[in-house]
Amino acid sequence: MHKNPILRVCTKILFAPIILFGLYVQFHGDFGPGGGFQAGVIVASAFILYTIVFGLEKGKKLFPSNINLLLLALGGIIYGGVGIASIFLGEEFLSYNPLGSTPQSGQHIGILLVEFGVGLTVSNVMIALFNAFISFKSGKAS
Amino acid sequence: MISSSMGIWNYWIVFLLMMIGLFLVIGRKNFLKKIVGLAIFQTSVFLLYITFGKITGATPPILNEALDKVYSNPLPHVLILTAIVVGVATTALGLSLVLRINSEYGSIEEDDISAQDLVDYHDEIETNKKLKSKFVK
Amino acid sequence: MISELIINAFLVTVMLAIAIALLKTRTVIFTVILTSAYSLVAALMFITLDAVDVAFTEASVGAGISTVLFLAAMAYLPKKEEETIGNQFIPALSCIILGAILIWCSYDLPQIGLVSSPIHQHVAPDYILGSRNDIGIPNIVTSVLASYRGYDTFGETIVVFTAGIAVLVLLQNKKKISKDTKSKIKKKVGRNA
Repeated sequence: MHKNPILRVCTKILFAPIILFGLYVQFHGDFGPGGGFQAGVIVASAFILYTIVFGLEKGKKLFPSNINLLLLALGGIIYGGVGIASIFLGEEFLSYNPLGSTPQSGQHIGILLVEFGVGLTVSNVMIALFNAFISFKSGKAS
Repeated sequence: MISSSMGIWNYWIVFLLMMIGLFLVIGRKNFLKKIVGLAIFQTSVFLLYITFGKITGATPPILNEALDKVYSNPLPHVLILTAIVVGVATTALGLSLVLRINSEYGSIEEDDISAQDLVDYHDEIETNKKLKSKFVK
Repeated sequence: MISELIINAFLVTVMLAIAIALLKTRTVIFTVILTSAYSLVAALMFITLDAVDVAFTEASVGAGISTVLFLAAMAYLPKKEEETIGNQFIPALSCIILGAILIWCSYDLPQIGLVSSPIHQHVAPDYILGSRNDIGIPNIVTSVLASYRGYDTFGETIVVFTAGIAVLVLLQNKKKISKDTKSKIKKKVGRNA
């Protein structure tokens, strides 16, 4: 944990805008460059910055690791669930057409949901990876 | 003439980068360097794919109704976009393996580790011999 | 068009220079920083080649997260690489031969930027038209990623998930004790006390 007040204050100021930017990249991915993969990494970078500056203890208080693991799996489930939902609505796996009133709006909804699942998985995997690396204890395992 | 040799220059450098990555993997004995070599090899392959998708004078593949233009090929972009994220996940897996090896052997040099394995192997053979001689007696 | 190619050639040469510096350095921190710089130049390269989405990803993932992970792993590892003792002649020779073969083959590859090269004839025109008419999303990369190639992306997401779980399993510190052993220990400690 850093004692430097500039780092601590700047981290607190920057934390929300980074997540906001991540959400913008996530949901604006249909119209400009961006999408689930990039947004996930950007959101994860906010939490990683917080953990670097305030230490692992406070980082885990902010984002507990059991919630992290839960969301990690939830992203993949959302992706697969959208695919299975379109099977139940009478089309092939991951064909988004029946999700909306018209095929085009169905595609919109499907792509938005799928990208959200991707973003959730990627961001939580990155946070979990970083936490695992910095909490690793060296020494012979017995 | 210039444009034709420039048109192949990219490929040459990409192949050189690939070979540097390959050499880091097979020539260096340090495990961290090997992982860096893999990352370099990966990025050079990404460059090769993206280079294939380029069309001279085209715009990035984001539709714009106002100007009817030629768009670069979006397919390699999609393939590489996902490959980058998978690449960082697999790099992290490799790094964690290196950390585990370091905590078991106290070293990440390939020669050192194989020497330690050899010593262990000989120790095992000798203890087996001793046990056998005891058993026979 | 020529200026574009010149920028291209310059950036790619910078990448080669960084890679050669990586061959020479023996200090771990330099290796990590050079890898980060390499990814950043690759991201610039992707922008000049019209791949904005890829550049975005490479800049955030390759130059950002991957560097952070390397630095976090570096803390536990030796700071210097040992000078290689063994013979490097055979690996170097095989790399040079393979590189020469690849460069020789590069004369058969289509030139950069030609509309007539085979990659642009197959499915890409369908995707560009379909993204406008069937899906109605301006970013073609997103529509191909999530809709046309949804299976691929599903697989990649699961791969990322699996790699994350594997790292968590490899790096966990907890020693697992089964419930039976725990109760036995409790009994023993109880008796002694």
